[in-house]
Amino acid sequence: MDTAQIDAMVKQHGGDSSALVALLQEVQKKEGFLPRKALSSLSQKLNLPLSRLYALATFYRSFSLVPTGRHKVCVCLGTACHVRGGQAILNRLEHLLGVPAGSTTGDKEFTLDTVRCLGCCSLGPIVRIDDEIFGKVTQDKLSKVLASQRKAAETAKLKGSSTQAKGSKV
Amino acid sequence: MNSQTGIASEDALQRWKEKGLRTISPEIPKVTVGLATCGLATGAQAVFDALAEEFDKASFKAILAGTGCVGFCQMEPIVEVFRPGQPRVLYKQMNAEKAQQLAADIISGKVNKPLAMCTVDGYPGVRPSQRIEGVPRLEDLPFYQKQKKIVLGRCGRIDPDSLAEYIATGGYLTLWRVLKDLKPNEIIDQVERSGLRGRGGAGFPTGTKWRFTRKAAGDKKFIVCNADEGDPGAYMDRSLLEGDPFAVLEGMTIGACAIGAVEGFIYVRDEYPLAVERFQRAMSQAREQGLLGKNIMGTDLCFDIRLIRGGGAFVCGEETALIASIEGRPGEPRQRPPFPAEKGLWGRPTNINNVETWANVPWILSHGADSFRQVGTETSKGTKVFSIVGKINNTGLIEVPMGLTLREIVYDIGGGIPSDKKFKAVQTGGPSGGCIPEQLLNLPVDYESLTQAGAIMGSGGMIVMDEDTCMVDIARYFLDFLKEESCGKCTPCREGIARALEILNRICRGGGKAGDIETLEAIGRMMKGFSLCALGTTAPNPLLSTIRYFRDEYEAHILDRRCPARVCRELIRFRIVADKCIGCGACAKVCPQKAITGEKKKPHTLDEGNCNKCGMCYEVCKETAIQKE
Repeated sequence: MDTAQIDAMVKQHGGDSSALVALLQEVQKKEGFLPRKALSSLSQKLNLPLSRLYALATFYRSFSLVPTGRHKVCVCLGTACHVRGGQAILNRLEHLLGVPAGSTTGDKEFTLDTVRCLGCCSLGPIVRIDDEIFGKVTQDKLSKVLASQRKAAETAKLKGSSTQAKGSKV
Repeated sequence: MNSQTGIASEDALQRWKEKGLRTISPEIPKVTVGLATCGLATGAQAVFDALAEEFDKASFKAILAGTGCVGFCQMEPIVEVFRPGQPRVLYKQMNAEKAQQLAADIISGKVNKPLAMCTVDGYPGVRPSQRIEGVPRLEDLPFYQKQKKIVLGRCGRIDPDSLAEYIATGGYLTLWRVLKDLKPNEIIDQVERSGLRGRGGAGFPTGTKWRFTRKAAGDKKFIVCNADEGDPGAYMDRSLLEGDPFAVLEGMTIGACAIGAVEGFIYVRDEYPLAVERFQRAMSQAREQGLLGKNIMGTDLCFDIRLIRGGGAFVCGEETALIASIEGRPGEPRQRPPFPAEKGLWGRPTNINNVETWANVPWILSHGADSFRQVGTETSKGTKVFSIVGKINNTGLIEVPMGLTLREIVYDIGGGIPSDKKFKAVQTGGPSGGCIPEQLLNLPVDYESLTQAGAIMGSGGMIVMDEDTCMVDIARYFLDFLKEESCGKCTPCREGIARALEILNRICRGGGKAGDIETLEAIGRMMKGFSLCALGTTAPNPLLSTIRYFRDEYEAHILDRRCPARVCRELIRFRIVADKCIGCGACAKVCPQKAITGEKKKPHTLDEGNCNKCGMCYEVCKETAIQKE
C-alpha cells in the first residue's frame, strides 16, 4: 500500500484511536498481512508511535506480520468441532499440505491455520477455505476439496490470471 | 432522512406493513432458501442457484428469496415453499439435484412429500395455514415441540434484508409506541419488572443496569451491543444478527431512549462476516427511513450506531476489555469498580448488553413485562436460546422457556446421542462453564441451578459429549484455549492457566503423579479467588467441574496410565483386526508414518513402533478393522 492509499483509508475511517483496529484490518485485507512499510506510513500519518500499532497487531489474532499464502485454510477447533474430531482433520491437513498449523506451504499456495469456533457448530467438524465454509468434513471430503483447490490454482497459474503473488516486500 | 420522508407515523408503519405482507404472502408462488452461514456451509447457494435455473428455464413466475436460519441446522439446507392459498411447506436436507425435482413439483403445483419436513404456520400477524395429509406440522416435530420463540420468531422466516417484512411482523410499532407514550423511566420500569437478565452469561438484571447508566452523571452516554460471541459452541448471536438484525437495532434504539444515550456501538466478532454485512444493511435502511440518526420517527430522539469489527480476541467479550478494544487499545480488562455504567467508553457512562438481551427488549415492551414474567422460573424469566451441538442427533439452535430440564433438551428436543452411544456430559458456558454429568440431567436450566452445579449459563452453547469424549482431555482443551486467550495482565490467570495446563498435558501423556488432582484443585481455587476479570475467575470451571464429576477418569489416567475414552494419544494403541480388514489400503494411504503395510485385498499390518497414534487410519477405515485400545 502506498502513502496515497493509506491517506485515503485514514480519511475514510477517521483518524481517531477507535479507528485503529479497523485501519489495520483494512491493510491486512488488502495485503494479506501487515507489512512494516504500511505500519510505518500509518504511524506517521496518525502521529502515533509504531509500537502502539505493533501492540495491536500482536494482541489480536486476526493480524499477521508475515505474508500468508494465496489461500487460507482454517480448521475450526471450537468445542463442538473438537468433540467431533476437528483435531484429526487438522492432523490430516498438516500431512496433506506438509506444514504445521500456523505456517505457509513452500509454494505460497496455502496457509494452514486454526480458529476457535466459526459459529457453525451444528455442522462440525468445520474447515474454512478463504471465505467458503465446509461443514461435516470427513477425511475423504478433505482430500477432494483440497485437490479441487489445487487444480483451480494450477489452472489459474496456467492462464496467468490474477491469483499470482502480490509483491510482498517487508 | 428527515421526518417527512421517513417513517414517522402510524399510517406510515401501516403502509410499510402492507408492503411487507405483499412479499411475505405474495400473489405468486414464493420459494425461500435458508442462506445463513450454516445453510451456506451445507450448500444452500447451490440449491438456490438450481431453483433459479429451473424456474428460469420454465419461465415460471415465482419469488425466490433468501432468509436466515430456522434453527434446525441438522436439516439444512432448508427451503420454504409458499403457494397462494396453500400451506407453507419446509423441505429439508436439500441439494442441487433434489432442488431440480422440487422445482418441477413447484411448477406443476405439487407437494413433494418425500422431501418435505413439515408445514409451517404463518407469521406473527399472518393467518395460519391449513394442514397437508402426511406432512407433520412444525410444532409437532419433537425438535420444536417444547420450544417457545420470543427472540428467534422471525429467524428463518423473513428476509433479514427487508425492513418491510420486519415491520409487517410487528417491528418498529413498539418503538413508535414507546417514543409516543412512555417516559425513559417507564421504559426502564418495564424492563426491570420483566425480570430480564443478561443473556451474555453473567445474568445481571438488565433493567437495573439500564437504571445505573441512566442515573450516572455524564455529558454523553453510550450503549454497546456485545456481539463478540467468543464461546466456542455458541452461535445464537450470529444467527440473530444474520436472521433478524432489525430486532437488535430496535432493541438498542429503545435502550438508547431509556438510558439517554446518543451513540451506540455494536462490536461484532471478526469471524462473522455475514452478520456484519446484514447488520450494516439494516442500519443503512433504518437511517434512510429515519429510524436511526437524527430525530428518530420524527421525535426528539437522536441516536446512531457504529459497527466495530473485533480483532479476534476471546477476552474482548469481557466488558472492560471490550471497551478498551473499541477505544483502539489491546483488549485488556481492568479492575471494576468503577463499572462501565459509571465510567465506560472514554470515561463516560456506558451500558453494555449482549445481542440476545437487546433482541428481547422489543418483545417485552410490545407484549408487556407480565407476559414475559409468565415464561420461565422464579429467578430466571423468559426464554433462552441454546445451541445444541456435539454428539447429539438433532443439532441446531433452540429457544426454550427457562427451567426446562437438561434431559428434555438433550433427549426430547435433541433426540439423544447418535449411534447408540452413551451420554457422558453436557458442557455449558464455554471456557467459563463446566461439564454436567448424567446424574444431573434433571437439572432445570436457569442461572442459579447451573452455577450451583459448577457450570454457568454462559451465552448458551451446549456441547453434548458421549462415551468417546475424554473428560481430562476436555479440561486440557479448555485450558489450552484459555492459555492463548488470557490477556496476560494478571498473574493468577496467566500463571494459573499455564501451570494447570502443564500438569494436564503431563497427565494426558501418561506422566500423572499422585497429588496432581489436589494441586489442580488448589490452582483452580487460587484463580477463582484472585484473578482480575471474569475470564480468570471462571477459567478453572471446566477443570474443577470435570474433577468434581469425573474424578475416576483422572485417576485412571494417573494411576493406571489408561484413558477410558481412548482419546489421549500416549495412553492408547492402535491395532488392525485381521479378520475385519479387507485390504482396501485406505489406511496405508493416509498414514503419515508409513507404518501400515500390506498387499491389496489382504489384511494389512501396523508397525506399532513406528505409529505416532494420529488416528487417521482409524478415521478412514470403513470396515471398523482398526481398533483403539
